[in-house]
Amino acid sequence: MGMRRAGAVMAFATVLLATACGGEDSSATGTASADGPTKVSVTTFGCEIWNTWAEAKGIYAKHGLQVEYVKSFGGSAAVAAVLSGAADFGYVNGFTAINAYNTGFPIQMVSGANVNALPPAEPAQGVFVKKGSSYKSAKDLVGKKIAVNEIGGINQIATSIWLEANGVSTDQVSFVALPYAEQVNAVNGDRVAAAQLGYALLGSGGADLRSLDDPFAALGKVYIATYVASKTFVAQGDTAKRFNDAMVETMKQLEDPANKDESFKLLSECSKVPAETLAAQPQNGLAPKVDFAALNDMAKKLVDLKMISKQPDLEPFVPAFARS
Amino acid sequence: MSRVRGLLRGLVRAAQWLWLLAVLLVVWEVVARQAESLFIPPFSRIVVAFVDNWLSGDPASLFLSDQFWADVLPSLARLAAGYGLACAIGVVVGIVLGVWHQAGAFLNPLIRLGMSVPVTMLLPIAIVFFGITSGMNVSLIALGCLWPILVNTYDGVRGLDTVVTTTALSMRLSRRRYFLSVLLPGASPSIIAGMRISIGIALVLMVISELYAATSGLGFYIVEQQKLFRFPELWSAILLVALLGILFNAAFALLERSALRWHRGAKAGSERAS
Amino acid sequence: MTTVAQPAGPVAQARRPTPTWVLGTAGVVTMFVVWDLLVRSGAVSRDSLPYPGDTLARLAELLTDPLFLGQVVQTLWAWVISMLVASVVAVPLGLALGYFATLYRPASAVVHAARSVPSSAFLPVAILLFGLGTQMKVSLSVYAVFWPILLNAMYGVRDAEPLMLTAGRSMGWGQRRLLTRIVLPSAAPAIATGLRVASSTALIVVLSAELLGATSGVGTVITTYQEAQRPDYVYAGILIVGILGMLIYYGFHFAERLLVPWGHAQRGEGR
Repeated sequence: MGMRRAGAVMAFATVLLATACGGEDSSATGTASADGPTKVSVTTFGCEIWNTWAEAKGIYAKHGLQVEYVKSFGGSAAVAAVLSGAADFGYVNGFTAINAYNTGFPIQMVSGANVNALPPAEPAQGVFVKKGSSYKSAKDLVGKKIAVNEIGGINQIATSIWLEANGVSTDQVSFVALPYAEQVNAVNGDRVAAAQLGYALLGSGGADLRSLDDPFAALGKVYIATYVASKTFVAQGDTAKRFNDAMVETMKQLEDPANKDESFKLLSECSKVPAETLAAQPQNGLAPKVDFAALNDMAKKLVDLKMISKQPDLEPFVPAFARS
Repeated sequence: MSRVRGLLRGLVRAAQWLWLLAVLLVVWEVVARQAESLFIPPFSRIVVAFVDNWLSGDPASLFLSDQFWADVLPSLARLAAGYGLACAIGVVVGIVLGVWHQAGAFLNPLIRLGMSVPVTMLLPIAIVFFGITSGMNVSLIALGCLWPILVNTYDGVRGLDTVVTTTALSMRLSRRRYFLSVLLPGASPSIIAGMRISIGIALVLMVISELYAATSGLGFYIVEQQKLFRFPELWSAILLVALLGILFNAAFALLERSALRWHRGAKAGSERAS
Repeated sequence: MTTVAQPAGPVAQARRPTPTWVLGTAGVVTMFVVWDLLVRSGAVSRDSLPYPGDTLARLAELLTDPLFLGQVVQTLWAWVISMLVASVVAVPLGLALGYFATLYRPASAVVHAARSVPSSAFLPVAILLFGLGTQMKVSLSVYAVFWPILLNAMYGVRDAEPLMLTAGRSMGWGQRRLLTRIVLPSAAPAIATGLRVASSTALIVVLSAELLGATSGVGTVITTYQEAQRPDYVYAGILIVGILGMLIYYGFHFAERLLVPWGHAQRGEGR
């Protein structure tokens, strides 16, 4: 093969690489076109109640946003999506978001979404064990396996804090990562002793499970779900602020008791779970604005758990428009 | 004097092999420091994390840290179990199928089918059958490693030099003699090649089988560090996997060379005899 | 020493043997029968293992579903790109590295070091660098297959008959002629083997990446059905993936026979 042919081949390869790289991941633009709504991509677990409501009621459109959904497995994957440009807004729990920020990743929290259901509301999360099993308290889980959605994720953190509060050291249990559907199967099949997830994610197999306790009750106010975006994205234009405004308006409407039935009906169309089942499930609290003090508390808990070395300065983390 | 010269020659040989690797690592270091990417730290930082994570133990435990014993050992044990199982089954079945042609033709499409399914796809199924135990990891590793060994053993048996086999026939060797003195040595280069490919696959599966539904291990550690955004630690684990791979590869290269020498010797012997 | 196409082993073939394809088909049928019995007898729970009949029905369903076929295209697209990128860079590079002796040894060291790391270990990093789309899958797949292709090209060059090279040189052939007339044809079988092996590996890596977090491709479909707890679809997907792999394997096998027939003559036929 002559040198010239080799050179041509190299050029061809570069072009191929460029096209392969230029691929579909550049759909996230986020910049407003001269007229018409701004296209933004948002990660989702599948169906969130504020998304189904906002879409149906045109709230996103009202704020000049056209939302494209990207399926994500949550947690660090959402942060990854945001950082790599695969999505503009990442749906991620507060702890993982703080962790990522603390490592030095240039992200900001542009909106809250869910906080845990605090008493007197019914607990929306549980540590689930098999109905017929002999587990009664945290102490019974010593030496056992506990299933969570993600290693190092919010479920593991909450469970760890709950265990410590009940006198069990985290070294005495093993955490195993399983997708939510598998968690229920695993508990029913005696492959794990317990699983920590929300009532809403139990599915049909959940009928054979009972909850030991709500691990989030001991935590105080915790942001179970938030939206983050990259710093550069937030800095360009006001798309992030408009997203927050849309969230505020959507959640205000969702809190109105008159809208409850319709909101579950819309959610049911998306998730294919009957609306009555959805309505009967305990609900997490809605919180579009971020309570800075609560966020700092969350960071402190991470320090206590030795997941991060020292309390980070969260000032640059939450832009003004997102704070309550 | 000649010993010193021998040592120098050895060093020169080593440098010949390693200079490119060293150059690339230096380039990595420089580029990473410039780019300041959080995902890909400079190599020096990875080395520091590596020493911290794996080599910070006391002399009693071979300088290997507790982390090493806690995470790497279980993974390696599972690797050994799965790989051993695959070798045993693969060699035996490969020989049987190689000798008994009908059985070979019977199972050939199924084997091709089995080889083409990525074992990762079988992870949820393995969890159903084995639960979240070491058995699950071992079975996945065994299943993934099985095919190259099986196919290569089969090829090795089938590809035996016909001159050798007809000579053996004419000598009316007993089954056992034929097996030990003709079949195995003749097929051994293929078998060992298959085993060498499989150890690489075993390493991959060791990591993958722990990416979820595991409670400990090197793959588990990698996932954990990724979820917690701890990149130097993540890379230190990748480096460890790389070193393990190099180690296994080198071991097999040695094995292959000695088996090949035996084979060549045997072949030369048979040529002289005919 | 010629090797005649005869089966090895001390088994005398007295009567006409059953053709291989008949036996092969019988094998596949037996598998389905055994599968059916396992489920019917209750040896394996119906929730974990569906009936083969159901699975085949779902298989037909999936193969006629344009959405699913679209995902198959996504997987194959990632596969094609990664194979192209890897070969276009690795083959010429391998030829060069094999040819120039000073580079061969150090290059081998680098290659052996790099190929020892399974691409799965880079999955977290790849996701963070490239997101969850085709780019990520391609990057992992290229990493996985680049080294075997490179290595095979290097070995192929090294295996070139030195006698022939000397003969070529004595005839006054320039570098270009030596390369195209002697080195390349002699390296071609090894390169072909490398590509064939790489084709399977690339598919497996792409599928693994899809199973572990990508947003498109057959692997994601299977994951979705896994979450929805529909094992009949899951097993149908697995069968489809297996068939895809088989098609690719046989495709490369026949392409090899066609384009590099001298390779098989060198290795000796008998299978």
